[in-house]
Amino acid sequence: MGAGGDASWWATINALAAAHPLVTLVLVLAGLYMAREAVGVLIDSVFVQAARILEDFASETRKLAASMQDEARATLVQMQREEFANEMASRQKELMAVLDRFTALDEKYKPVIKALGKAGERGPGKASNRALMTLAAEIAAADDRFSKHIDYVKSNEKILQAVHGEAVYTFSPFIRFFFASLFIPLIMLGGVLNFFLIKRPLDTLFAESGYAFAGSATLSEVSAATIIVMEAVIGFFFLESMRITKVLPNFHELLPRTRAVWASAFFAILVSFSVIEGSLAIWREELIALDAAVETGELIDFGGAPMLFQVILGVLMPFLLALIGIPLETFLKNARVVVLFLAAAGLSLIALPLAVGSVAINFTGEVIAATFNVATSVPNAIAGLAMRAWRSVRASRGRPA
Amino acid sequence: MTRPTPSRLFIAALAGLALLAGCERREPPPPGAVFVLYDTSKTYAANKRATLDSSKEIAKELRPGDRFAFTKIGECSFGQNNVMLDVDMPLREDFAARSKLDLMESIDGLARRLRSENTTDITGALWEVRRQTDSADYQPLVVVIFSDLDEDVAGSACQGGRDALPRLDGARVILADISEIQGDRVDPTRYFERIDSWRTRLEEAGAAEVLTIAGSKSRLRAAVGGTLGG
Repeated sequence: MGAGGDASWWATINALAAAHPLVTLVLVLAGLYMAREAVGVLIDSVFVQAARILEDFASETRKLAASMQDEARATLVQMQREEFANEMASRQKELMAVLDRFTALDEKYKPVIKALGKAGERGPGKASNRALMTLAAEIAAADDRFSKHIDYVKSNEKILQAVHGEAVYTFSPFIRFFFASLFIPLIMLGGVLNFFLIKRPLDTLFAESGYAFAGSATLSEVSAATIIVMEAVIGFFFLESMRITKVLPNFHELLPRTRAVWASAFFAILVSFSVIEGSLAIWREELIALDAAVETGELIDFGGAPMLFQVILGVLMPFLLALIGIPLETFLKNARVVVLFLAAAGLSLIALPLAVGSVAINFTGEVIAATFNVATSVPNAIAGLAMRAWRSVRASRGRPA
Repeated sequence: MTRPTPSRLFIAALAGLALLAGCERREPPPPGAVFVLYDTSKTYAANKRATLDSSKEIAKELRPGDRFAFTKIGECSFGQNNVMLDVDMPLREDFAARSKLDLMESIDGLARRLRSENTTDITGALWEVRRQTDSADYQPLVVVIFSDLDEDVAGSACQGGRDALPRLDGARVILADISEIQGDRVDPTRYFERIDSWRTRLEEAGAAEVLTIAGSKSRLRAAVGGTLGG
């Protein structure tokens, strides 16, 4: 029969449907009834599965956000502990120094006390009186220093206990990160200004050297940029060796004397850079004077003010650029916590539409299923009645239903 | 730290070579040249001081490496003897500034050296510019013509080859302080027709741009400076 048979069957149905609208309705209901299982499977496989997948994504995202937040909190607690530990270490050093002071006073005034003991009832002489008063003053001063540090420990006792116990947020990494992010571009702006100031005299020096590196950077531009970057790098190492910043462990592990030698060397290099910039400033002023001479046809004396301004600016620049190490350290230390918190917040935000999408898809599937059930309720009822009638007929004939 | 296997070392060496390749020394861009052509005919004689002052303003716009030449337009303008000044600016900025000061003094000194001549051979002067710039690639080439544009070679020995202008491909020509001649006062359209005719001829000869600037040293300086500066 094949294709010819199918075609004639379809043509018969079409002819019947065209004959009467009721026939069409019956055919549609029969079709829906026969397709009920297929539609059920479709809804189950597409909508329910899709909703489940989205829900899984949402819950994974939430878990990731929670773990990031926990890590951020742990890092924050650790940073606070380190800060307090540093503070306490420096106070402890101070207290030890005060105790040493007391010991030294004890040694210093032993003869005076001995003399007083010998004087006995005669009472202390003028010299001993003066010595006693000086001793009292020095002890008072040392005691003052001592009590200042003890007061700090007493007043911060609760915070110190809390830091070692639970998490206490006594500073905001966001505020520190914000200020570091603000200061770094400001200092870099100073570097950019410096670049343009020193570029012109270096242009003169490297006029015949052509272009270097890819693109159109001249050798003078590369040199100026190198000088500025080296000033910032040497300044950073200087701050490290002075323990003002504590980013690299290499300098912290050195002996104090070795560290002092390095600090002196870096400071000397910074001073050399100052001299270089000062001389470049003088050179620049000469070029400006030449430009003015070309413009007016005669040499003009601008006086000392422009030269002084440029020289001072040039001399100060390396030290200003060196300060970039301090906000850079704050930036690096707080960046991790800030990024983790923000990433956790971002992921939580992403989880929300995923969860909503999952619910929406589930709901859509249920609506379609309910609509389909409503549509097939009539044929379902007819089929149910037919099944019951058939069973009762079979039962009445004595055969198993 | 990963172990430096031979293949990794090779890749690192390749990367290093690539970096070094970027460090090639490149030459600076080609220099520019400014040729000032000054008409020494009697009809333009009154403009000598103004022309020299304008030339000094133009000289202030020269960049390190540029060339400046002052050529007179007179009788038989094609010839090395017509080039009154020819200076190349040093590449160093401070040397170039000192060179400019010397150049401006030299331009002042031209006042005594320039003598009026009977005929006007503008085409010959342009051929001289072509000869001077033939062997070099000046980017840009600026030709500033101070003249009344009334070419007249009748009676001079140099009349041949003046029908066509030399090729001035890419040159920027500035017609500066074009003065009027006697007939222009009667009929001003002759003045503009003369300028238009020269403009057409110069553009046909390949000039990239032909500007007309009259009476303003600052505009002339800005035009030359803008052209040289790109």
